[in-house]
Amino acid sequence: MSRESPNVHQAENPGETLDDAEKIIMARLRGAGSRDNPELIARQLAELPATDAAAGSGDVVERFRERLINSGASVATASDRREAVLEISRFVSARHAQRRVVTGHDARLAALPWRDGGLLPRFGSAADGDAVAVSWAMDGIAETGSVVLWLDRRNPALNNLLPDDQIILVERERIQARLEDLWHHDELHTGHGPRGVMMISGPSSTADIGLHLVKGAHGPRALHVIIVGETEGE
Amino acid sequence: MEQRSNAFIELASEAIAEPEKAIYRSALGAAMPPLRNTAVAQFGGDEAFDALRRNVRERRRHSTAHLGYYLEQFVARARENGNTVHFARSGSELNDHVLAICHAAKVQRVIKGKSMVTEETGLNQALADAGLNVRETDLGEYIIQEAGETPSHIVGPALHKTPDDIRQLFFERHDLGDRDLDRPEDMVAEARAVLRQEFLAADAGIIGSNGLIASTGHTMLVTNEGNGDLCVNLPRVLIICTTIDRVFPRPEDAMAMLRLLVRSTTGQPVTSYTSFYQGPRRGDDEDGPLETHLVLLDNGRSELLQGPYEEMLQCLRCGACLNHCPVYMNAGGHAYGWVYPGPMGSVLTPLLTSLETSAPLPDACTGCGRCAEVCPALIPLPDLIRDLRAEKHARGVTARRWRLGMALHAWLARHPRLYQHTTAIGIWLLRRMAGRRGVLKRLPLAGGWLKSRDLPVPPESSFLASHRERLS
Repeated sequence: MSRESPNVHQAENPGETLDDAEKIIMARLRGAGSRDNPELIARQLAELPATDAAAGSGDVVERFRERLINSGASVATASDRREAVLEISRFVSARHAQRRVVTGHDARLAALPWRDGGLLPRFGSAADGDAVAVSWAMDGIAETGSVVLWLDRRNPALNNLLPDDQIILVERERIQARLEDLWHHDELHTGHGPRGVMMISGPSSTADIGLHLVKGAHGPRALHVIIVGETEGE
Repeated sequence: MEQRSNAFIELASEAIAEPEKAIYRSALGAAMPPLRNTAVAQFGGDEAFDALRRNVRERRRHSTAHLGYYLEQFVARARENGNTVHFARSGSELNDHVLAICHAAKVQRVIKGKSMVTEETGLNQALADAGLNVRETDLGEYIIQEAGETPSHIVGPALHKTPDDIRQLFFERHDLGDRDLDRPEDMVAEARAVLRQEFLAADAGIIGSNGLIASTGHTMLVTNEGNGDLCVNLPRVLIICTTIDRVFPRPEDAMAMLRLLVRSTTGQPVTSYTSFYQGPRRGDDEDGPLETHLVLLDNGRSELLQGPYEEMLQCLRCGACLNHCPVYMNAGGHAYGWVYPGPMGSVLTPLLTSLETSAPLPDACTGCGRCAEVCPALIPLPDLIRDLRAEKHARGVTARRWRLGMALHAWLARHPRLYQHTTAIGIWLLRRMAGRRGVLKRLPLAGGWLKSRDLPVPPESSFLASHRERLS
């Protein structure tokens, strides 16, 4: 168990050390594994039982709402785009003395009737000092009360992180039951989709000082989710 | 990180002598078990929680059994996705890789997310020695970096510091004049403002990873503060430092693990941010790193495969075993003298360093079994600790007087008549010494043990003797 740590330091050619380490480690792992027959491994993997944990019961939208509120977010509903803009406007007026918001280059966001809410959107990536970002989620996850954002031109990652507050719109019919459902998009499996996926479930928070929960650590201090779409039975 | 595990007894004694800090440890002890109960309830009770633990164990065992296969698959996908992948056999090799990357990309300022792996390799020191500016950004890590200390808990690195300590530290370290820092909210806001400038000025971000997905090449990052995601998305260079044993075959396997990880760590159903990153900026992206590197560390892990301690590779680093350990609660995290404290540290430290340099750790256990009960990965920690004790004894690492004592006891236990005779003498002696008080407050050679407790006087005859009487 006691080991001399190999005294390998960056030589003239950094590539050489790198290759050596990779070859040695991979050889050791392959030696330790049973003969790696891909077909056999695939069969074993397919036979692993699925989890039915946390599937939950009842209305997914209600569960989504409850869990988000539990995590310190606020949730509103809007039956159409105009109502969504008015809701954004209400939230911005209540917390800020200005009407500017930053949003990604998303066609759905560009098509919102911003003027109806007296809002001034700027399209692009957020910068330090932006007060409010508005984003449009790909999916909602009821199990954990999360919204899923794909990090691309439509949703620059910094819009989720730098502004003081974040407002995220999600379509009612995009709210899925379980964590696994966020992966039900071919693009996420090919390498030709977004460079990243962020699942956001509440405002940024920390309990590092005396186990006291504080909202607004490094990211947004408030998260407001607007569920957009006709409610059933209306 | 410099190892001081052999000083466990001294370090633990110092911690026990500081009751004002013990309050924070006991606050943790009081806060965490109810959180676990909430978490278990969220799964639909103990039975459902156990079913999920067993399910995830099957997935992890499968991944570990074919680690070479899945790691190769992950690395191939990660390279296709535009990442540069590096392998490091030792901590110093990981540090060398990171330094070479920083040097090639002309990096001066580095921001870091929380990473136990880079604590293990002592990366911050290596970067600082090379003249780079390194800033920890997880609030707890930032606090201990400013204080010049090391983490005391793998999830809450600064939980040994009271709000008063932190207030004092901020007054000393931040030149911001007269201001109110009464509430934790004030201190968090101040750290946010100070660190925001560091984020914006950084050339490179360094983070760890909670999991690697082989089929897609994603790396998973779980945080509440959002600092890790800022480290990923703001600077032009991203370096992810993680270990070779973190691989999951498919996204669904990582999702199953995620459920257990978060609930066991903080009792939340999910953290504020869970991110999956695949590579550098693409196409017409407006932000994101221009170059991304993955450094995969072995540092003794591959040697655990197929060995008696292989199960330790299943550890999720949730910290639940720390929160439920009576020894950790009393001794504190620093007593363990290296990166990983508590029950998981008592197993992992000897395996990743050596038994010789961490000899007291396997003994830092009362065998109460709570760690095994709460472990989301179902690692039989008390069994592994016991096996390490046996190995320690067999290899002669245990102190001579302990081995002598054990040998004496073993010899006595094999001679029942003599054993009974000796205990009878012991009982007679202890009863005489106690007189009428019923308890013993002082005893030669047991001063330390009796300092915080009394020894009840043994009954008149031993169990065996009274049993025999009853039979006759």
